[in-house]
Amino acid sequence: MPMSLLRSLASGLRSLFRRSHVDEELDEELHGFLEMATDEKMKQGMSRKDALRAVRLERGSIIVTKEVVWAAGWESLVETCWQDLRFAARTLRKSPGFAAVAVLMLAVGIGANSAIFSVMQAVTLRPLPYKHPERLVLLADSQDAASGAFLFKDIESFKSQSHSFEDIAAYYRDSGFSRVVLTSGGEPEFVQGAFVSANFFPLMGVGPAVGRVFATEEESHRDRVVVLSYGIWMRRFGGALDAIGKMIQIDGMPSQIIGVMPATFEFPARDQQFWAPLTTNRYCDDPALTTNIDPGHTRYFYERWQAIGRLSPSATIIQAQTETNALFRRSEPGFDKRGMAGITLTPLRVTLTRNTRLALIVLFCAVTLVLLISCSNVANLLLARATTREKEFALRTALGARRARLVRLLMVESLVLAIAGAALGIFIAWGGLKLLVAAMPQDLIPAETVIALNAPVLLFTLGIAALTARSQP
Amino acid sequence: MAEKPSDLVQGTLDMLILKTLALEPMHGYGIAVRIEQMSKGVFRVNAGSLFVAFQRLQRSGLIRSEWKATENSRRAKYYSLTARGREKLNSETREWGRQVAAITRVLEAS
Repeated sequence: MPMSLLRSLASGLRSLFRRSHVDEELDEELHGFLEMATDEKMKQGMSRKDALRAVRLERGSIIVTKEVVWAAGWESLVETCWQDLRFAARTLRKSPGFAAVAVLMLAVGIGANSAIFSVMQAVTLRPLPYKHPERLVLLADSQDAASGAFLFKDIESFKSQSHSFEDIAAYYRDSGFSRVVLTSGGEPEFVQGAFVSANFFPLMGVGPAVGRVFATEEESHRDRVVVLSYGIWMRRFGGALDAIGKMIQIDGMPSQIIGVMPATFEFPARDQQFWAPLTTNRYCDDPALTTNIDPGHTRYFYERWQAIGRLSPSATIIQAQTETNALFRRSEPGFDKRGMAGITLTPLRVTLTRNTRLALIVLFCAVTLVLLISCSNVANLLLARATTREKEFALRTALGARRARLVRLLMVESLVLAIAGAALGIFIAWGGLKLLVAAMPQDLIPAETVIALNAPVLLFTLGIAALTARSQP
Repeated sequence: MAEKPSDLVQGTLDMLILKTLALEPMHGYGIAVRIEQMSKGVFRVNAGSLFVAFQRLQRSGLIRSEWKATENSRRAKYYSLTARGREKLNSETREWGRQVAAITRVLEAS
């Protein structure tokens, strides 16, 4: 019944904010009530004094009745909670040493938790900045799922024959093949680049921040064009729009800048500085690749390309893996002679967070324990304090405080502590996060993530604070 | 008095107030007296529970109140039934009858 709820709300608010008015009205009504009862008694022959006494015995006194009526409405809860809150603040102010230690302990626990949770959230929970990232998978040799690479023709045959993929893009694996010397006016730099097939950008589902990316024709014509990373665009060109169209030299070969990718786009490698067509790699004409495989070289010499695929919406990763393996066995009867055990598909997220995930979970458990310990410490402090306050509680009970009311008083006190702890904890988390991010090895964190305190983390912190308060009395 | 006036069965005060007001608008004391009279002195209503009930009934829109002069030219707050209050009284009365009949049947079964 929303109407009556509304009426109750309005009436409650009226008695909260116009308490004296409502109070006077009730006072007048009650006085009338008791007067009438007294008159009745006096008509029966009692003296006024006796009649008043009898009425008070039979009907209750004005003061008690007013208290009872006030306590029956929801608004009294608001007021008593406010009273409790002020009382708690006063009590804590009176024992600053205790309050400081308790708040500090909670702040450290909550702060550490929030900092680690921020990192966890950024690394493992936040969506990757690609279109439908859950359908992106890396293809690799089952024995070397992290960085296994293929022959170019392997990738071509997966792409042309498989039905589980919308598309598959190829890129040079990141060792020597894509490290180049980059010159653009200033000093030459040794940088990590990426040589990717033209379908790479549409496959990731991310467009350039500025300019354009290269097309299939440019790849097949081996046009020397290059898409810069946001980082190098800022560093070398100060983010100037007229960088588009300028030339830079990659391994001494002039290449034209045609676009810049957004800052969050850092695949395949974190320290990626540019993306260029696969066909412009300096090893593209390596005769070793067009002749038969020379047993004198390891297979890694030939397997230079990695593949990332986008699953079609109807395909599962298991289906895709089964299909790809079957295709591979059929088209490459001697594949096991190459020392391959089969092909494993790994979701992109798993690859990116592989090393970090477990470490973070362990760390998270550790800081949660720290929080629990600080909670129990604070609980102990509160207990110790409670014994010194026994007299106070005895007095309150004697004055008529009910058990529930005393418990609430203590709860509000710990809530005040917990909220103060959480507030300070946010600062500790903020500082701790900076330290953590600085201390973490760069390649441990997937490049695509931005680690920062944010709304979910703050909600998490508040949740912890509330739980902390609950766990104390 | 042979027997002491007893307390009301939990939750029945609202119903009795509504019933009293169904006859005519009435002030607090009048309602208390009427309940006591109608119950032939079995129930005694104290001010605390009565006024809490008024507040509750008013907040759920079953009764409304206005200040008026009494026959003794005192000012008093008169309560009256709203349409919803009347409806509620009817349904409560029916439900009460059903329950009492059922309880009686249980108690009389041997």
